[in-house]
Amino acid sequence: MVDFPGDIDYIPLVRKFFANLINAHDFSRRFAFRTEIIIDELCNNTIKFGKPRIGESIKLSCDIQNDQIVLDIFSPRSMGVDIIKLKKAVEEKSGQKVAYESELERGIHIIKILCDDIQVFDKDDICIRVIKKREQGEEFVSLS
Amino acid sequence: MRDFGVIKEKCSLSEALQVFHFKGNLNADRVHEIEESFAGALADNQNFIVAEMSEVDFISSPVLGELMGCKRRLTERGGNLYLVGLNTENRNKLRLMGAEKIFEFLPTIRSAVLKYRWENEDKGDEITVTIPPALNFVPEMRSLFSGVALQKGYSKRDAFRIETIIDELCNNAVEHGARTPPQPVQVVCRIFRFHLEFSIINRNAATGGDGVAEIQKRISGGAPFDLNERRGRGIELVKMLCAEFSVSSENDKTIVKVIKKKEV
Repeated sequence: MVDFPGDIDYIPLVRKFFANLINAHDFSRRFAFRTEIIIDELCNNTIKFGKPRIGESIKLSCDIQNDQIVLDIFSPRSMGVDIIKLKKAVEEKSGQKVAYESELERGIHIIKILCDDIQVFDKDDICIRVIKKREQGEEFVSLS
Repeated sequence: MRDFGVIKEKCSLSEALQVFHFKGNLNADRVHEIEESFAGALADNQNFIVAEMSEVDFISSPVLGELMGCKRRLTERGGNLYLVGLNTENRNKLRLMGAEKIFEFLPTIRSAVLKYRWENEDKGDEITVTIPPALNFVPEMRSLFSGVALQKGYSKRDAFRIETIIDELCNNAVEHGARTPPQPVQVVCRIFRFHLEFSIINRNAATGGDGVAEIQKRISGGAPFDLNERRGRGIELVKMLCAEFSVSSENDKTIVKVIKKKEV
């Protein structure tokens, strides 16, 4: 779990941190790179559309399992996340025609292409959960 | 093509900043109007100005000169001028004119506010990372924190030293922390302009409070370190690299605190 200030300057460091960790856990370079894109989209959208207050932080957790990773990004309720719009963008089926009305929808659509499942939880904090399963038939190549 | 305009407004994110929204072509014949706008802000003792340029199509060199002059006047008064939201074309042109040596191009007003806070309020940023007690998480952890230090203007030497400190302390936390059931290791980093504070928190294993007291004694120099000893070299190394170093025990947690000053 990484808890970092809502400042876009931190996103490259955070996404690299998780991508390297994923790669170090025997996931392929391609998998790690795709996860990096997902993290980048999630964090940028949280800052751009969640509009965290100055000093407010964003939490990102990554559960690395044998066959999949589970990413959870939490935005405090105090942020201005439009939960209805977010849920609508997430729940739109992949076969449906995508409106691409906003950057948020485009961002969510990119994540949907790259992951296996995406859900929105609306409890204490607003949480977007992304599940990405291990891709079959790929050889492990180290990033370093 | 948009019409020229300058709209002056308060920054919604910080009262200390005044925002000027520029629009259209900033041609040479607009210099006087721009100069007057800035002069008004200076007369009102507004020393921190954000020039928001996302709707600007063109910036002429006389206007760039005026922006530079304004930045100089503000800097002399302890303030600053932030250029925000430049499109790629304008940013490239300003780079070709060497303006990047004078201005830092920031993407959003929010970035300008964060920069203002970083440079003037020194409240620091906090980053917390929690990892499972496994050694293979440590290399990425140390890279993350050295990256944060570099990002915030610390030198490569500082970043390397921070990496060494994190490596030593996290390895110790993993090695000596409780394993059954596995307890996470938490690193809290507060980074300021001229120093960093780290807290490494883990649950005690067998050592408990007595072990912590022994380590604290060694840190404070109460127990001399024998170079031939195989254990305890990490403590000596961290002591050498940081300004303050302490260890304490709260409930069943061990908290190691380190303060590392920026080397100027």
